[in-house]
Amino acid sequence: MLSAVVLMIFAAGCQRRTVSRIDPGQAVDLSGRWNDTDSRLVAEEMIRDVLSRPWLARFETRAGRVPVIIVGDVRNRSHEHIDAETFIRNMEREFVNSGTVRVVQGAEFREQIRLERADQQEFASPETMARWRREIGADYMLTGTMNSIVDQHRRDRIIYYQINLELTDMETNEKVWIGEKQIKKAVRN
Amino acid sequence: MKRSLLVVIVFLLMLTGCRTYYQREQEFHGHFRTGRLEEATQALEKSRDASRKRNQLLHLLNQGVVQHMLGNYARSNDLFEQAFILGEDYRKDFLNEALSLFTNPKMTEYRGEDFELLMVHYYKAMNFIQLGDLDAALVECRRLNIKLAALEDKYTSDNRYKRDAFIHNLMGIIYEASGDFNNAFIAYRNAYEIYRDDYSQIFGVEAPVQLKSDLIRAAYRTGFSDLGREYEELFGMQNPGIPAAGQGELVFFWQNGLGPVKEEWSINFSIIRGAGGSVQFVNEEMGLSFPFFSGGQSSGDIGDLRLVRVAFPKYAERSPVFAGARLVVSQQQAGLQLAQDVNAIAFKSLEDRMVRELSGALLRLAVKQAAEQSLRSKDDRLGAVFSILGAVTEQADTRNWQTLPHSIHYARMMLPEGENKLDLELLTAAQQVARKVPLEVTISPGRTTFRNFHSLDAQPPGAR
Repeated sequence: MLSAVVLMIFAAGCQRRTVSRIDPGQAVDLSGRWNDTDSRLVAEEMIRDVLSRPWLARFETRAGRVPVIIVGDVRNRSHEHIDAETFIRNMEREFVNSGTVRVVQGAEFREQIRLERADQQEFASPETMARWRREIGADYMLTGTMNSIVDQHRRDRIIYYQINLELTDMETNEKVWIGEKQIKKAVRN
Repeated sequence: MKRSLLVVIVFLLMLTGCRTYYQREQEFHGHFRTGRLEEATQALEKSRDASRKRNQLLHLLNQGVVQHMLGNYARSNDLFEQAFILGEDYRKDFLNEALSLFTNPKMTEYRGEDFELLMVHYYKAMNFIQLGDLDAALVECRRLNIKLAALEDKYTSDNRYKRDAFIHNLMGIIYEASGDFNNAFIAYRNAYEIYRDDYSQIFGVEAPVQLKSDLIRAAYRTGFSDLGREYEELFGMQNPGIPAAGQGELVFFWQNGLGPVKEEWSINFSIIRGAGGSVQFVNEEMGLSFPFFSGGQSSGDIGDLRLVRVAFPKYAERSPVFAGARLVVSQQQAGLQLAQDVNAIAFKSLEDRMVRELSGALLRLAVKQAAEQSLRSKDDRLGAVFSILGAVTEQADTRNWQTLPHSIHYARMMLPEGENKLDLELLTAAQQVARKVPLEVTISPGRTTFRNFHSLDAQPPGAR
């Protein structure tokens, strides 16, 4: 019994909290819920898909320039509070860096920029002042939804996510590209 | 040898008092119950019991509640933030755990019940909202989301408290107030499903009508009109719509009464010896049976015992004085709807882990008895002294967060912008107005204003 107590006291010394840094690219699944790996997989899949489809070449031959895209809402219809921001930002970055697509600011930040521009009209020197009515209109808008289905029986749980993104022509409402990515996980508790 | 033993005995006796945690904190509770909050914080500050490290979490929680009620929201949040960190970083202190085996579990650090650690964020969110910092309140929502997920994963069995509908509902309300309708919708829907699947069965608490209409509105505001229509049909309700121009919303939380306190009771176990040194502690009345392996030595093992008494905590309800409440403003009135039955959750949480707690209590007893037997085999008088000591120190852990309300009710109202004078009418069981609390609320157009009120009136523990 005494030895048990001594053991416990020793064990107390071993119970240290450890923190280690890991590569953000490494896939680690803990709870089975939406995580960074899912977000990255969605971004990679969607970017690869959207930039390799015929709508891009068709627009370029028709208009003689690269298309301008605005990223709209990605609505979350799933059962979890998922931050769509992470993969939306990834996609925007890839769009911009690829040089084949231009991206303009979405509704949320547009207002802020306009406020700043309005402020410049009064306080900035005339040669550095940003001018009104020079904004670039977008040709396409990217929107999407996230859905989930959870099936559970006792200790087993299947979590299924489906992310749909659509690129819509601003003038004609035509859907020029539809991307889909599914993620399915089996969790055993 | 004898002298050192005496020192140990005196030391052990000093560690224990026979009173429950509620009784030890009587001065504080006396002030708190009657609303003398300034005196309550002073009583708390000078209480020696509260300043001990193992009670630090409870001290922070109690002070946090009192400061919140005094309107010192920033100070209250400091305390709750410390409590949050304490709850997050909790690790077993094995020396204290071992010591508690010889004495009683009051020696261990109080780590908080699951529902208590969730309620920290309710108070924090309320504080941040009163300070006008909705972004910080949203941080609390995200923390809650992580906590709720962890709680759900912690237990595999159904029919136990592992999902909190009220907290999801609260998250929805805060998300909606911040303009994030999509997340509000998800939170409301999760809350509704938990009320429907868990709360109605376990606690007899149905989904509030207010939540149903919030869910419909959030669906439409997110742009999910298909889901909005689906819920309208399911609930037989209409989309309540958003405040008209010149109107704003009031979300009012009424915290009714006081949650339960812990008391002590004991259970007798008879011991049945099996083959190969194994023993079973059995209480046939309650259908409980715990096997232990005692090593099989001839003396100094628990196999020599026949009957043992185990001290165990139980909750004692403090029945609320008021049965209901409503908000009344000139032409309209709104009934406050039950959203969280803290009392029932407390009882359920203890019941859920009763078996685990009992086996811990029995282990504690076995260790004590084995020590006694081994002493008795060397010196009979020493053994007798230790036996008395064992009985004196056999106590249950009666600590819990005792400044929580008995239940939480809420209502949402659309009010004209500017100053509004309202009455909170507290009702008896016969729906008579027992007390009127005048309130003044300033509403900004298109915004959500939050208020909460805690009526402390409650019966003494165990009284009906």
